[in-house]
Amino acid sequence: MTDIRKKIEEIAIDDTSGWKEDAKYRRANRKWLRKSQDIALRILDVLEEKGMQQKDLAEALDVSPQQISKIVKGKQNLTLETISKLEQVLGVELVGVPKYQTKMDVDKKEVKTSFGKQKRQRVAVQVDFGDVFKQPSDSDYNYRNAA
Amino acid sequence: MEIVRIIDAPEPVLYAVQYTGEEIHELYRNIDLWIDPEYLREFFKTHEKDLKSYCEFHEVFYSINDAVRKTINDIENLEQVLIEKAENGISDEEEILETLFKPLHNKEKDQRYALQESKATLDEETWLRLYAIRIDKHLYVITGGAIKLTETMNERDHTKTELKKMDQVVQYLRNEDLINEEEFEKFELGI
Repeated sequence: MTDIRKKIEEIAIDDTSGWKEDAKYRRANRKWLRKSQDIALRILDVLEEKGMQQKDLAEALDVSPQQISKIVKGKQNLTLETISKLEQVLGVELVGVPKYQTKMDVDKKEVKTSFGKQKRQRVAVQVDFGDVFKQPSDSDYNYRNAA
Repeated sequence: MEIVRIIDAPEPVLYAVQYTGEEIHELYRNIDLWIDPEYLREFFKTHEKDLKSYCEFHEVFYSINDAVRKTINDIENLEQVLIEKAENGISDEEEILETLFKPLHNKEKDQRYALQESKATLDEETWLRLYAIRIDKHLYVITGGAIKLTETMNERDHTKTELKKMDQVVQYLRNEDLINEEEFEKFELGI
């Protein structure tokens, strides 16, 4: 070991910050944390559009400003109840279940098209939920209106 | 200031500065900012023109929120690499430079600092930067970090601050006789 290495090792301190554990936690919980971060961004956008401060949101929800601060930092595992309350106060949809098409819908349509009239058929029903709780992206901000 | 061990196996190779008055070292302090959507959104809104220029230069498009998401993604990818190295160790300098960091091909005007250049190791361009000093062979100290949207560090206050911090650390380490001048070099490393 060189002199410099020995000297710096003598004065260096151990890392007690917990960043490795934090990083591992975030990696293990990446999927829902991403959703939490997206919700945080949407809330911040809406607050800005409405000219609201975080403290106004806290008052409307009857929670502490610290709680709102945690939410907009994208680290909260929000309950459906909290999300619904946020949506109500902000007047926007934060998360939603996407429209889906069942196989039954498809077969009915095909039957009508083929025979020109309704016909009873036994059909198998397959439901594709797609991305459950898909959040509207920036590009489909008017998701609720479109639905 | 304190010098905190980040990667120390099989031999110490990477440290980070913890400045006086700060509760955490510079690596974690920057990571903590770079995973915070509130901080990032505000940063990119403040530097929206720089973001647009960056996108034009690199022929990409990022909205402010896209930029936030990309930053979080980039830093989490880096963390994964760092943790793997911290747990498995690093054996040589080439590995430090070529697998830990993606050095820039960016030339600073009137720069006094050498820039280490090597092949890119990550697939995507990133605007995240860590700044480090090599104090001896295989021995690096992280002095800070920044989101760099401009060509040179002198163009913006937040990156100019990082240059001052590096100088401050160099002075401290020299006073403590902790620099091998033959190996001394400053790095602006793209990650």
